[in-house]
Amino acid sequence: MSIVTAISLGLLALAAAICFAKAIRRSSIIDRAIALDGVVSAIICGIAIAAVRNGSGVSIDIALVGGLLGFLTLSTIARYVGRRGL
Amino acid sequence: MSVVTAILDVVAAILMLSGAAIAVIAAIGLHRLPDVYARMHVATKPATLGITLCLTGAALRADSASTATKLILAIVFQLVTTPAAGHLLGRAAHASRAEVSKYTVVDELRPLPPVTSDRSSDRTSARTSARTSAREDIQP
Repeated sequence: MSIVTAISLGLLALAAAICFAKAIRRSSIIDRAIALDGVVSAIICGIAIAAVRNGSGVSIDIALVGGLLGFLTLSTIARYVGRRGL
Repeated sequence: MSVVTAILDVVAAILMLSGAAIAVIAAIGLHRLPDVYARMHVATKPATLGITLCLTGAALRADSASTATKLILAIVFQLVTTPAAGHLLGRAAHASRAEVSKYTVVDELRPLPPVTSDRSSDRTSARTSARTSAREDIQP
């Protein structure tokens, strides 16, 4: 199980790095928001898998709050873009 | 009892690995798809399916019942909020006239042309003719 969690965390780090590369490249604000949401979802998965790896569930609350903050961020950016244009 | 634990371990390992693999595939798709809408389509997949798989796998291996309950609650929150956020972002992208790729077949948020005289045609045929022809061509 330690090997499996290590491989999963590595894959999630790779996914977060690729999404972050998309976010810092020259693209529109909606593309950046989508890419940063991909980073957030990778972080949530990583927190859950790290909780399995460590054997303690104290960091699950961070995953809960992170998911709700991701929704708030995306809806705020959507409102801002829809009102003012790109 | 140890057989059940071993089966749970294998299932949790498969779920976590497939969730991480979906996150990587979606991150590659962010770079390769041609359109804001297509990229949004591929970016909401790890936020629903990937998180569901990873957190279900973690809940199968959780040490206590409260941890598993919090993980399932996080899954439910993600499944509720992610489609709403994607819908809001798509609306905002269309309102700010984001570019549409050349492979797009139908744009259902495009404003309909005014239907003046021909009342016999229903809404579906008006929409079809609106997307296949220009605005002045459908006037009778």
